[in-house]
Amino acid sequence: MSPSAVPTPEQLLALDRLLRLSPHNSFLGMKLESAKDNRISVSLPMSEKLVGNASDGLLHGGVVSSLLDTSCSLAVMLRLGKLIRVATLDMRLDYLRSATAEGTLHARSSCYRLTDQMAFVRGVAFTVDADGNEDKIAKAAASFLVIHQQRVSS
Amino acid sequence: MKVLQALAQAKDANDPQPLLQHFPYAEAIGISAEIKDGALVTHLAFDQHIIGDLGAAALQGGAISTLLESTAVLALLWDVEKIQMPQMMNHAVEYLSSGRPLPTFARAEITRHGHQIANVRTIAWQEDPHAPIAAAHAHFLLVPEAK
Repeated sequence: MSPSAVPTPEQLLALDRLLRLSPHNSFLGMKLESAKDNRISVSLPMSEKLVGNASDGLLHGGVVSSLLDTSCSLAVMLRLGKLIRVATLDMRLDYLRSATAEGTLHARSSCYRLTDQMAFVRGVAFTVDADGNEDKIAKAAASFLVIHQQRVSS
Repeated sequence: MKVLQALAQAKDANDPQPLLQHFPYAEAIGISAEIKDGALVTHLAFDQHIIGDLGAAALQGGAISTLLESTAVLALLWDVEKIQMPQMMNHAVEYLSSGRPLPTFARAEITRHGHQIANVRTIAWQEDPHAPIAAAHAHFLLVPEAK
């Protein structure tokens, strides 16, 4: 699978299975939305459980971190075209605005540079309003170590 | 507001744990807090739902990040005398080693607590406090509490 290729249905299923195999992702109800043109989209349903501070009802930043960690690591595998284990080295998140913990939280990530051992990824988390416009909540910049010796099974 | 009322009581009792009920997600994921040797220490209990990678039995980075973010907020609330809520502007985490299926602890150091901005560094460890598994720094905007 070259970086710009559209993944085959089998590859999409494998990425989706891998995502759901993670107990933390399941805990948050994450699912794969799409994967093409080196971009991967995942989402999760928001609920009261995900509120950071009960007095304002806003989403906890940790939920955004989890969704972006997942979407960024899957972006590396999409770019690699293989399910190879990757480890997050660092992730910086800019919280652009706060979000209420209602509706769906989306994240879109792409791996913009891949070397033998390293992957550099950008991601964005957003909600979509009634008119279909994206409201950006956070932006992420992350780097990953690619562990070629370890394939992950899905 | 409720959190700040609870904060005053928690400080009087020198026990941050009752505050957690005001932080639903931190509580849902399994975070607790206590004062140890005069400093706030948080604890993320091990549970299957914080595992990110079953094959490697590694904690999800986002779960560790949730612990660090919550620790930074709690430490700022604990430190602050003024009535204000910290609003996280950014958070940068370094993952130093893979989180194993064990209890994880964290503490914070407030680098600077200014009028508008606070800078907080956090560190997470498992068995050995001198062998951190993750470190982070965060910027907070300090907004005056709504009337």
